[in-house]
Amino acid sequence: MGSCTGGRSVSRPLAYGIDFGTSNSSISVAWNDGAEIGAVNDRGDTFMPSIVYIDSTRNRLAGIDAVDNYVRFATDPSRARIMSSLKSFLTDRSFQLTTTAWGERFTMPDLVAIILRELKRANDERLNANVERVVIGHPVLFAGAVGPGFESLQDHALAQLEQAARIAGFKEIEFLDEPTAASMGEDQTEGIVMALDFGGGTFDASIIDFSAEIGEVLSMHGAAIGGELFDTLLFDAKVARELNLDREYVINGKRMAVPGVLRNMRTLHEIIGMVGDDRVRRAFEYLNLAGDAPMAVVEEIIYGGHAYNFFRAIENAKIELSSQRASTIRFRRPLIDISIPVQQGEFEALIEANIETIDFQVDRTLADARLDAKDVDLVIRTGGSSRIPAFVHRLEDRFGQEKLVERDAFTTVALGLGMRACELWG
Amino acid sequence: MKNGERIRTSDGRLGVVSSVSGSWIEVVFPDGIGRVHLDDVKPVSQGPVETLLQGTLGDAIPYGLRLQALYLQHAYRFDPRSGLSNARIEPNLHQVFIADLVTNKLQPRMILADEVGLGKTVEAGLILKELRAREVMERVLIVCPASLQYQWQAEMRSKFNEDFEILTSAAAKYLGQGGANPFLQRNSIICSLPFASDPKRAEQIIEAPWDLVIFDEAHRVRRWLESRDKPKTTRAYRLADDLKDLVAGLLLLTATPMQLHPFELYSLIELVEPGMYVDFASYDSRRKELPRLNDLMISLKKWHALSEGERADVATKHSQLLREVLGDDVVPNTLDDDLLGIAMDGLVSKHPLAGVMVRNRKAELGGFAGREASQHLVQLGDDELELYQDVATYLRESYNRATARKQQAIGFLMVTYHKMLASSSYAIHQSLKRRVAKLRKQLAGASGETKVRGRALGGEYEDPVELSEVVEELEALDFDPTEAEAEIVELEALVDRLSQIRDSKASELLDLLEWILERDAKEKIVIFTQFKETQSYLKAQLELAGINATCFHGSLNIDEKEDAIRQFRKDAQVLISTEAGGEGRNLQFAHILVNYDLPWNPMKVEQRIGRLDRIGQRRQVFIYNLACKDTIEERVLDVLGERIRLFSESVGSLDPILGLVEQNLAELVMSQFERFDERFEAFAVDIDRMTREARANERVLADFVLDRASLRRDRANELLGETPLASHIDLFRVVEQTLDYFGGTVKRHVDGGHVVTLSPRLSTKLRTRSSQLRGVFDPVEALAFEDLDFFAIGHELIDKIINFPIHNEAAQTTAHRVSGLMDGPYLEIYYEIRAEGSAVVGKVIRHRVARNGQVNSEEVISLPLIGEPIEVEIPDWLDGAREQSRHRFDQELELARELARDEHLTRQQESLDRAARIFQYRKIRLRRRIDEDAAWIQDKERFGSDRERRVLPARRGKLAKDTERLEHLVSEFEGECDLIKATKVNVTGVTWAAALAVGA
Repeated sequence: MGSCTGGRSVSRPLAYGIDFGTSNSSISVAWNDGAEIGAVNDRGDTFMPSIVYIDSTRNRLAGIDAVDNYVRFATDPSRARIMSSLKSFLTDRSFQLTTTAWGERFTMPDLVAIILRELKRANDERLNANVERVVIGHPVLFAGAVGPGFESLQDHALAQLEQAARIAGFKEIEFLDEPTAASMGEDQTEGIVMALDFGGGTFDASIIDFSAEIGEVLSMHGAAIGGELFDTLLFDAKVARELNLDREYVINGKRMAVPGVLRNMRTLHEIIGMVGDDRVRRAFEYLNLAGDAPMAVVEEIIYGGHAYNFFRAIENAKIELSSQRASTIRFRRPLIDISIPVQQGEFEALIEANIETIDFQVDRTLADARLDAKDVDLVIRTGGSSRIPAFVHRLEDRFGQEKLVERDAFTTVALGLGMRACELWG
Repeated sequence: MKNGERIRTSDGRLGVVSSVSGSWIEVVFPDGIGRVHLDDVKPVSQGPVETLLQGTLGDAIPYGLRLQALYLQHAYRFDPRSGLSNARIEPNLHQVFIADLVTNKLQPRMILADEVGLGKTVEAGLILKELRAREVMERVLIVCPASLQYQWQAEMRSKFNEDFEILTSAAAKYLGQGGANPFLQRNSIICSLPFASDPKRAEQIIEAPWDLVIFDEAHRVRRWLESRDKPKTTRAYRLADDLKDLVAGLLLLTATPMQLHPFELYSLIELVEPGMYVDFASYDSRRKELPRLNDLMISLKKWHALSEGERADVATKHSQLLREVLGDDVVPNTLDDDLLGIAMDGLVSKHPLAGVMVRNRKAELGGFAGREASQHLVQLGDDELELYQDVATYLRESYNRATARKQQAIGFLMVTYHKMLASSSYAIHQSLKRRVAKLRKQLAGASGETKVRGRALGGEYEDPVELSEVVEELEALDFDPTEAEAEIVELEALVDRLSQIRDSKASELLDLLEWILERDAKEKIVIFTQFKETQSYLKAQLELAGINATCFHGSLNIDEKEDAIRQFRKDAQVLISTEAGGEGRNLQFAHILVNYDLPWNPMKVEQRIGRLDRIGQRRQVFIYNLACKDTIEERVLDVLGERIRLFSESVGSLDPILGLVEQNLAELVMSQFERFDERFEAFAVDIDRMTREARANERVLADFVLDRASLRRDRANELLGETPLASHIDLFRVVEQTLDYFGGTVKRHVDGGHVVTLSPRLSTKLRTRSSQLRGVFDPVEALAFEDLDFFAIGHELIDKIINFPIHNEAAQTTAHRVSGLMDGPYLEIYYEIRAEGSAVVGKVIRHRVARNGQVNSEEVISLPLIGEPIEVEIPDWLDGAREQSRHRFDQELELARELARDEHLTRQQESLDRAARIFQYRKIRLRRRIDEDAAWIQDKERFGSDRERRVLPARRGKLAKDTERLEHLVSEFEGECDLIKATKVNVTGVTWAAALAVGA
């Protein structure tokens, strides 16, 4: 294992390994005696959403700070902008400049550098160093690197990434493909392994045979089910009513439901789309014609800068339900007083159909590999949703508790990149 | 708002809420039911403990935020160390010491007389800030030279978040509409010395009440002896004299007290501490003891290095003085450190200026790297030199014609042209071209100006912000039409030649800059010139040479000025500045200065150097002086450099001499003397002699006793070393947590500092101008970002944010889990004790009462942390616990009362003594005058001439009036004593908050 502690106070960090992902990014620190996962911000988180924020004070923020500031600011695009999935645009030659209303111009490397710089800064400060070497991961093929010119597109993307690293303050920059990095960080496993990645957006199941030298994928299945979907289910079932979002209103004699633009506030990501949207403002104005200010609390959440903490409150309740029979979504602020009890059984009932679907995918994967549950030597579960008790119980029933292990999906690649850095400069 | 809650409406009616729908509530008033908007009602307040006992618990976070806000306010008001963390300064020992000394005086009155460059403005600011924080000062007036008004305003704003308004004639007219006194319309005012001295304005100033008045460059607040016994005063002095009895705080800032005639210094003492000396003679006799005090002080300072024999000598020589400071029973040759300290303090208290003046000297403070100057004489080409002389001749002739006709403005214009000529051929070329165009227009019949408009009329052109602008104004003046044609011909010939001439001086500058930058490309160089024309010319030349330069001059607005400085700090290699940058801007991050031309007034040159050679400058300051050989510049450089030694030695002692130099130079240069060289040499020798004498004087006067009175390093280090009740880190934490709860963020900015972002709703609630603001919390970091706001207490937005949670009554109580606590629950109560009166002292106390009634009482000296919310049953033993806490607090309050009373009585006695001293002083003065007058009358009644006899009735009348005043004086004094005796110290206890606290 790459990680090691002790005796570190006297040595200096060699380099960083950075996994710049489409959705999330993380960083590792390479030392003489191995690599360890670094922090992505001053709070000590180990991964951050790959989101950048820029505003008219010429500030740049990355990760959760970016989301936090943007949804609280709740302003129009003339004062602040937020961008995600930058990695998908690295092959896009037509992406020239982002010009903002306040007169700043950004190239793609400028934007990517915001994330790389924040990763570097957080660890430089933590370690009191100025680390100028980095190994950055890249996919075997970047999104969009297709067609006859795919090689040159791939080169273009790598060049953009390298430039971003230079802007961020790195002097020596190396690359390593992500699958290799992932395998470097992984323990050497033997036998038949079932890997279950149950994250925010998707569920993926695969069976790999490690009996040979190189792992061979025997079968693979998946479904578009993840934590975000469960959030929306929970929101619709428990929170929407409390916020008057599923009521009907009579305005000018017409009965009507709450417009769709307002109902799409079930996740923080949906809120990002709402805060700067003029249609949303108009919808609020219109609904208020019904009298008694039905949307007062929702408006306060959005325009009072409370959305971030509100969704954290929902998130906390959901996490509590992994270990408790009951929890409460509690959120109190001036003019806001929300308290919604949720039972574990209630939540499980909400997601039961989805868990069934996932279970079915596990069946299929086993079937395709022509294997039985007892043939599997190890079950690795990764991702935030893989902790949901209902899911875990089913796995335990099927494979036996002793075969289950949990791995951190977000940092495996970064750790491998750090180990590569050890080889290069150690 | 809940049903059944007691409320009070904004117009004062009491009622009970009966129902709530949206933002409207129905309220039962004594006279019926009414509908009221939510914004118009407030719950009727109730003590936190009562609320808690009733079982009403607020949320833990707003509870914690409110407590933190109260704590920060408390720390700001009651902690004398808080001034430092809320000022954007790098605190220097002497400044910290002086601020502490003055704010702890009975009345904050002092002559602040540190040498130039030691930051007297900062000292005044620290004093002001501390008094403001204690809430004992509201109305402040700063009177300073006109040219320093903006500097004062900018420094108060950027360093102390204090907003002052400058009262100019225009502003006074606006604020004085409808006959109002403009000085009453603002609480913090800056005005110029001439403005304040105007009789009408002086009257308005006296009419308005002030808590603190600051006179800068106070040596201009003058009372002097024209002949023996005949004091003369400036208007400014008369104003200060009138103010001295009306204001509590009075600060006189001057860098040159030692060069003043003893009577003038005595006059300043009379303003600060009237009656300290009954008359000049008694001050003068005390002053004559100074050498003796100093002699002993020097011996005491090196006591440990003295031999037995030398110690015995000192003991014999100063036996009387030593007895006075140490008592009779001390054997002087066995002085240990304690006794030495006592002896030195004794000498300090015997110093004639002790308690009225502080003066720190660079030589004593140390830590200044010094200056090094080099002269670069430029060899002009023959054609250049010839043209120079021709223009000079033309200017001289015009000047003399104008002087003969008493056309002072034209004369001034010609002198200024001469300076331009010395500055650059480009500058004089531009100006003369403008002049020709103007004359042509005049000849063509366009209406010209026969008089000088605006400020030039008032003689204000003598000391303008930007010399080039005055020149442009004056150029509009008409010439005598009979001479205009000839003028034009002559001028055009010169203009034509000027347009073709090369500029050897500019080439020399480029060579110099390249040489400097070759050795270190990161160097920052400041180039000074007197003229905007030269400035723009140089900028263009530098740019051609690939050197990144930015310009600073007086016509830029505030933002542009900030931009220029920021650009210089960040990117540009060179800052080209006019004199406007010589005043106020602090550029100690650069250490290389080029004088491209030299002002004829040495104080202006000193101002230029002072921007770099000041506190915070860690390197030696290099000064490069450029001058053209065989021109007047070479001579000016000789006078400034060789005679006055401006570039190598401190000019602190030379003020009165330097004031004469510019006028003398102008007369010499413009007059058509025959033996010019001889006369100039005589002038230079004269200056040389005066300078030497003044410096010798300063060395003799070096006052070691005053040094000790002006800085006690041990005390200053103590002040700097103590941990304040709240630091900028605490402030940041509170702002961050408050914003997170109420809907905003504070995030670090990639280029330094932080950005506060407010949601639209919060921005409205706080009534802020904008929803984003960048600034700096850390005072040290803030120094590097002078253009950014300084986020500290006193900053408008920061104050709004931290105070926001205070008025939330629902946050007076809570139940929370607190780290560092065992078990529980406890009844937690926060109290504040505040003593207000002659001394401002405060204390925060936290009680935690256990179920068994045991009270744990603790003084709170760090920011209270925000606990975690918990659910808890209200226990049934709270009533008893409350009684225990109340009992304990009563004891604590009583103790605080006793302490405050003792302190108050001491201060009261000091005030009575002071009043008695002033009364005695006035009485003696008046009686002396009465005696003199009576003697005169008696004498003249018998021996006087007719003329003298004729004034006898008037003199008798005056005598009667004075006798009456003498009686009046007694009752006045008694009245004042009664007032002082009536002062009380007010010690109050407040309950801030109450909670149930459970251990983590």
